[in-house]
Amino acid sequence: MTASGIPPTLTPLAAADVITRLESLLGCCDAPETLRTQLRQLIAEARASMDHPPRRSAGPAQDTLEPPGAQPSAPCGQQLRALPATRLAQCAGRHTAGALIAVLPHELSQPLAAIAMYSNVASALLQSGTLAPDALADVMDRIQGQVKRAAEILARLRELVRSDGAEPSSTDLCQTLAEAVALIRPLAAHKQVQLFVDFPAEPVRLQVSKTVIGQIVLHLLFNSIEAIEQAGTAQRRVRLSVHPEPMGVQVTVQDSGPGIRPEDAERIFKAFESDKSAGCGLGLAISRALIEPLGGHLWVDPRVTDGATLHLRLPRSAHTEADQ
Amino acid sequence: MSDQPTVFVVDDDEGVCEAIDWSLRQAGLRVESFPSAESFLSAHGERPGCLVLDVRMQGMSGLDLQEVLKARGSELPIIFITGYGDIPTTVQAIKAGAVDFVEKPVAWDVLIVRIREALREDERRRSQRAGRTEIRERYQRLTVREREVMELVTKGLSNKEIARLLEISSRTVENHRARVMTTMQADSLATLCNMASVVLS
Repeated sequence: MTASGIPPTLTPLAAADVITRLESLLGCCDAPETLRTQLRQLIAEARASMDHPPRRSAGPAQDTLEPPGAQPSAPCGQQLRALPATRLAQCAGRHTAGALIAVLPHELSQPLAAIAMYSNVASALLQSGTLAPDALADVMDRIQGQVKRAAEILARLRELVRSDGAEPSSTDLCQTLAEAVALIRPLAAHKQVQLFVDFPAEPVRLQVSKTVIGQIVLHLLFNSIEAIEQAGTAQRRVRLSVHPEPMGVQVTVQDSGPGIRPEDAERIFKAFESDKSAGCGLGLAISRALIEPLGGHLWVDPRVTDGATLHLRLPRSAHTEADQ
Repeated sequence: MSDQPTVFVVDDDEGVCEAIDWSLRQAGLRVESFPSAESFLSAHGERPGCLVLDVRMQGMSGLDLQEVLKARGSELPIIFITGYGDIPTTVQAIKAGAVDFVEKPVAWDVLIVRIREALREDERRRSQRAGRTEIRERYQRLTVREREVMELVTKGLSNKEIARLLEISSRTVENHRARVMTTMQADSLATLCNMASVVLS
């Protein structure tokens, strides 16, 4: 976490505003403990950067690729950008992880249920002396398989909350997105929401931070599922698609939820403007703050009235192989 | 036993589905498992057995499948597998006619007992249905007048009343009535009333 990653947009007043709001939030909301701790750290860090204002330097945030018709970023996004990227990535990760932890018992219950069943039956058969040795070997293998699966679920979650991995590296975008989808699929299933992916056949390689992209997309998928759940819409679908473009790559999350009113299309990117009953509305603000320093952009498609459609554009400059 | 009924297992979690499948086979049951409600629907047909169904699934849920089967006129007994906190869904499933439910984690011996009960229930429903089909076929063989007489007799009207209503003689009513009893193979008025409830509903 170095000062060089800090764009020069922080003003003491704005940070103070953030701190006041964060503090009032900590006082009144019943956020999960991990989020609460994270917010405390954010406050401390915002304080520290207020005491030591960052150097003015040409930040990468200035060459953002604005899609046609896109509004300038919400001020709160800029305040958040004042925080180091690694810290933001960590916060976003834990933010989403907090939500995923809510469904973790359900997700883990599946392999555990299978293990319980196998061992239950095997011991009953053993007692009655009707379990052949090769059947015993078979059931042990099956149990091992489910144990491995439970371990993988935990590993995926751990991967999400780790703080390293925020450095850009050559990344297969679709693979990163597929991992995010795998992580959220049980939640979608639990809420009876169907997830569809539409990826190009060819791999899309980008020079980006796997963690950052993964977390942003995870957050968008999570938002869509929550919106559908809260509105109780009859159609329960979320589609994640990747479209390579001459100017970059566009990742689109489209849902069958209640949609976003045009007047809210920018407001939702401000911190604490969440309509959700759970959560504090930091997710989209953090997501935008994470992607803009990389020259990317995140916005609501104003033309779509049927559900909500969000686009995440990763610029050509982040392209490595498709540049030619 | 070529006519052995099949336990159909539908669970969208591959691991759980395999575990149930394996466990039931250990009890000597014939099992077929499906990863989704949709795949079950396209494969099931009308074979005898019972359905072990996960309440929560992606895509078509357990309750949706129950509804579709019902709409298709299927009487396949359903045992729902429910998770923690699925009480409202379970209530809904039972109200919609599920024969039973077991909670996750599923106790093997309990599930086997429930499945055997469900298979017996399926047999009972099938023989009832076969009986109903037979009764309808016999009813088809009656003449229009005989059907009228059957309806009025089973409503509790006397031969005289029927005769007046249909403007025929009591003697003719008696003749019709005798033929109805023979054709329907009813040995008493009570049996005929039961048959009437099948064909006249």
